[in-house]
Amino acid sequence: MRVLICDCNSAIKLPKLDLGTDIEIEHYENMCKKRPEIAPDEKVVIAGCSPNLMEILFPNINAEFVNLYEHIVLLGHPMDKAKDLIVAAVEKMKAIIPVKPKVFNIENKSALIIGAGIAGIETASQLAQNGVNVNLIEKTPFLGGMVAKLDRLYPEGTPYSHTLMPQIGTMLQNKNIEYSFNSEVKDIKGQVGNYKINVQIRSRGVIECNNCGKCIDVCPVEVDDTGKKRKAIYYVPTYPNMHAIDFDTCTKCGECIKVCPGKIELDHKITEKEINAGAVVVATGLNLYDVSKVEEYGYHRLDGVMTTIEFERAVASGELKPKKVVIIHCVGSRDSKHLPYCSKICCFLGLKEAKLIKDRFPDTQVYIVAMDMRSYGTFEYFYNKLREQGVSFIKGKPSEVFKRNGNLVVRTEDLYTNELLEIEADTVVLSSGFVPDNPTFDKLGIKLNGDFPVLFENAGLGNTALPRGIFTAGSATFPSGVRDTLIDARKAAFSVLSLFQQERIETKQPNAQINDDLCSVCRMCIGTCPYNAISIVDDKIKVNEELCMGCGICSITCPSYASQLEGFNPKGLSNQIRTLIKKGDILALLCRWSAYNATDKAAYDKYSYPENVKIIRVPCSGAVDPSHVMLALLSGAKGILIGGCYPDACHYAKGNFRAKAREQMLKLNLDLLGFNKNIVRLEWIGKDEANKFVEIVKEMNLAAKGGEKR
Amino acid sequence: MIDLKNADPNFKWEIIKKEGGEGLLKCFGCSDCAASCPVRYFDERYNPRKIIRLTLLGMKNEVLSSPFLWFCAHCHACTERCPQGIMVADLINAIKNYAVEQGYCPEGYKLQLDLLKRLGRLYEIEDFDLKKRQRLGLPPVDKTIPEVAKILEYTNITARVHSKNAHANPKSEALNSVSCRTLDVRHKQIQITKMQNSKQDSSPDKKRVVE
Repeated sequence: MRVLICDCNSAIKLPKLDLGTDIEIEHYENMCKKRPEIAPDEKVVIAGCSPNLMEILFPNINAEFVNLYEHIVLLGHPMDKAKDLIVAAVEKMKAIIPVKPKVFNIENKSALIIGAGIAGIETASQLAQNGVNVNLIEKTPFLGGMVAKLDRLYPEGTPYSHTLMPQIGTMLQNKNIEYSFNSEVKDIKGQVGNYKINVQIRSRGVIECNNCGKCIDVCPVEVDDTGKKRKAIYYVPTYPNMHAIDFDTCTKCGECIKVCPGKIELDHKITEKEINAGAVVVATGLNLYDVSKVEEYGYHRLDGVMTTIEFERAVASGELKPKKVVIIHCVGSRDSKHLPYCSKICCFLGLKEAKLIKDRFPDTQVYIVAMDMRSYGTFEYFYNKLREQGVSFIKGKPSEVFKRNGNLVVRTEDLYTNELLEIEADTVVLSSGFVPDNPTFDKLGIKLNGDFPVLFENAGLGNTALPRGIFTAGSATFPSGVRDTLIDARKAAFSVLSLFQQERIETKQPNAQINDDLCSVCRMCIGTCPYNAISIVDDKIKVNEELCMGCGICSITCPSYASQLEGFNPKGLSNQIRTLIKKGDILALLCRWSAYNATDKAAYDKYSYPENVKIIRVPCSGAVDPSHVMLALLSGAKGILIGGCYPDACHYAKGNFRAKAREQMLKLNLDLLGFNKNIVRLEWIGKDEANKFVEIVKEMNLAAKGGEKR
Repeated sequence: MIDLKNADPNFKWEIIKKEGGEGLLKCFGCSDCAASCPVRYFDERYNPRKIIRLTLLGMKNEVLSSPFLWFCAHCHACTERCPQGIMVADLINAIKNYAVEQGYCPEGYKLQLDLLKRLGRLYEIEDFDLKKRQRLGLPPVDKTIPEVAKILEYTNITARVHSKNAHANPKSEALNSVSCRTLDVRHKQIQITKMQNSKQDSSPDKKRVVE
């Protein structure tokens, strides 16, 4: 086995090591610049800086990383500790099973795009121009999505059609795009390179159409389509050039059939279709937050209170001519009871409506009430221009909207003068935050942070958090304006193209393996797996490799050590603990996703903790067995810290709950055996909580009187 | 003018330690509380946002000696609407408790406390009231409730309110959570009732339960 040591431009000064004859030691000046060559199946120990960085440099090797820089050099600990860490890592590597590379063949080089808004259209045309076959599915009967509902786009103020129609025109030039309207994803199977997507298609109602529009004249059902009135049979001037029936409101009276020169079918059929694709782009876009939940502003309760898009459509179509308008910003946004985040684009939407009304009807008085105006970048010019046009800006958050003498009254405080203020108006516009339109996110296995997908595991954009072969584009990622959406769509198209350049992709994600000779089919692993990846096939335990995420919980649960995670197994951890822990040490077994990162941060934040704190990185706090804790106690540890993610933030869904259950059981046993049960602690330590980690280990160092019996 | 030379940087941390003061640092000054406040609607001098702001700046003397601190009616309209989820009414309460500890209790409250001690309630019951109750078919009530005085004695509130510096009193330090809050008093009241009940078990002659 080889031990590779990075000297980090002589920042790490390791004394000469002697690890026995069968172990070679190699020094490298700087591994970031010059990487050693390592065969994929070779077991190595790499000592240098944090594994969080090293894993990005060496994605596909079998290695145990020893963190000399953050755990020794920056803290000022003596270098003798380094030898212990390296020897322990070597002992661990001797026992583990190497990670078998997972190979995915990119069999199908066509892409599925969910959502034909501006993001989906741009991605589809970029991909189709590069020769990729594209399936574009859309929930509504027409292309265009949210942009087709708008009147104009700012800051330039161009009509929406000047942006959207050229995009649609370019896309329609390509022959290799297949469109499905009125369709939604029902379920998805397979993996990257070979996804099978089941799509549910609702019938359109109109089968042959020459766009004469007679049906619209005779239809008796009138519907409010976000601020604009339309009939149950309707047309949006994008694509396809056919009318469509809204079956949610249609009464099936049959008037349209009588006048139609084409063909209309009024029975609502649902069919299913299977689409095969190698990659999926999620461009499902956004929705306005339901502002009727913000009860004090009276949406749905008071006439004249409307959302921004309703207002824009009503003004643009000439249905509404207001005299006095109040635009309230941050409705539901930055609010712990509604949306805790800032949706980034609603400030411009509010400003845009003010501009729209000032351009159309210059005599209308417009008030904008905002707690903070976030007009970043070039939008500041737009904000200045509106002030020149006479829009009054009030800083504050309105407490309520109510009716007095038939007028709407907005009550607020003007923060600039510290006075209470009431505005009477005929129209109140609520500029609300946005939520993703996400019925597909959980079907595709996309991990969410709040409402929106997590794109990367860390700020360094090292590991993508999205499932392989699945990409997001536009406002499905986060609410964004049309310009940002187009840029994001091109980025998604680029990602798909670079995936399709390869014939196969190889990754080294560890899987659990079952040793059938040892396995007694006790089924304990089946219950403990957070992903239901383990099942019984032909009276034998089988691990579904597609579902397994490599948490290692089953390998700890197995009473006969038959289940072993590649790259991490109970025996390896035992070896590591046995060689690492000396009398009086404190062992910290830290989850690689949260608590371990806190130790890195502790070093950079110039915290210091005692040098007898020895840190081992584990895949999950749930992958620590009570027997390991007992082993550490027998080796003389005076305190054991198990650090995991906060209860709702476990990377493996519920590993930390498993850890909690084990901790309680362990403490009972320790008490029975005569140990002080408080020397074992399970703590939730967040990624950035360096101070918490340092406080805990210092406390443990002071409090513990060693692992001796009472 | 706010002169930050007089600011006490520890003031906000002192308030955060108090029960109800936890959310103080979350405030981003949107003024929703000030706009919701019904008291402010009648008297513009009371402004919860201003109290929170001055607390954050550390203007201890200004906040604690201000008579407007005591205007809050505890309707919780601000708590209901605060976008940051701050319990604004409880926060004002925490500042009030701190003010009492520091010897800033207004005279009116001291008078009320004396009333409570003497009568057991803030409203004095006279023969007229008893007659009125009789006419309405309601049972008579005692003119005084001596147990309340016992409770007040137990909580040591009199000493805390009347002493200029509450920290000098060792007895009050032991009871650091005692406050004007009715909830706290009620809690103590229940404890005393329990104690009395257990005593009464031994002497069955006196059976009177305070509720």
